[in-house]
Amino acid sequence: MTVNVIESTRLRLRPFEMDDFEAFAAFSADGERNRFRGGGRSRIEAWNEFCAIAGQWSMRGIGVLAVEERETGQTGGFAGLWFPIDVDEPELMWSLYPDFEGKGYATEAARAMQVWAHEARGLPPLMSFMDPDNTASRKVAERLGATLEGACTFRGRHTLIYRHVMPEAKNEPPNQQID
Amino acid sequence: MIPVLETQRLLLRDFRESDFPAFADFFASDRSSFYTGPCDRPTAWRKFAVYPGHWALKGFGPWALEEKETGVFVGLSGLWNPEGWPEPEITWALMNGATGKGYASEAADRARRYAFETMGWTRIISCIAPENAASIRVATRLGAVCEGDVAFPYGTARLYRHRAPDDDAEESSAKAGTHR
Repeated sequence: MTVNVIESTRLRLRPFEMDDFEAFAAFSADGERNRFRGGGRSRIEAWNEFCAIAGQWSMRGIGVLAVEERETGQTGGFAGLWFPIDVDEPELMWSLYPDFEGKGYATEAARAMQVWAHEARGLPPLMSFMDPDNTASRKVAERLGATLEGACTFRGRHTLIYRHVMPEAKNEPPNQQID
Repeated sequence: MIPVLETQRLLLRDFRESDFPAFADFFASDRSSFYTGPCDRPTAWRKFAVYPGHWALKGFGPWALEEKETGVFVGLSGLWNPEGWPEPEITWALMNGATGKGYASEAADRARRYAFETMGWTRIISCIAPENAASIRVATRLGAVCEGDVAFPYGTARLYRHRAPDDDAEESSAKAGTHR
């Protein structure tokens, strides 16, 4: 299986590594920050989710990556294509840790992922689920050019469906691949 | 990359999406209660994706077990060390309809040898629920010894310590002695 490293102007999207777990667990424990993702997680729940993110790549050939700030090497969140068994197309998702918000990183990471999804996997315009009250993420989607396509009940919650546009620009510099 | 191992009747290999229906059936049944189940299909999918993720992050993990004769996915076994586990362990679970053939012992014993011979570990345990009689039988058959109760992320488990390679050597020299 090949997991890609995707680079954009300020970010490097790369597979999760063990060293990323503490920050992931700290973020996952925060119920308020995860109110649109099912609430806070215990440490073992965070571990299982962390592993499942890493494992989805080998099952699906697409997945979610750690978002690393190129300048500092710090991991500021995660973004990518989440594709569980009960959804019929992958979802473009993003989550940033507290200190990495307000810099446009979600938009930059999501756009880089869109370009990769199209160029490396030939995927059509992507979808994002969105809680109606998640105004920050809805703004990111709109900044990306996505439009509200409809709504559904997903795992018991009223959920909006945003449809993204086909990305235009190529990722710069060229993507690397690691085995 | 996940290495492929073989036993007499089983192939230990990577997990594939085609294994998922049997895995979801297992997690829909009460038999999964010792493995944090039962649960619905989406939750089972996340549990399923954890195995290749464990390999990617830690460089070892559980294998999918394939019955060599039929190609059927019959369970999982391998090395398992989630966050908060007392020590790395050997895990095993057989899918519905695959029990009673000794597959768990066969696969777990291969995993035990892999831990010692390939990974170079010197100790390995299994955390087993006190009520899980079938798994306790497997551990005992493998020569593991119960060292008492231990706290783990899902409560309290019985800690079984597996035989180390030295124990195997001692046993075989003892056997050799008997034959002499």
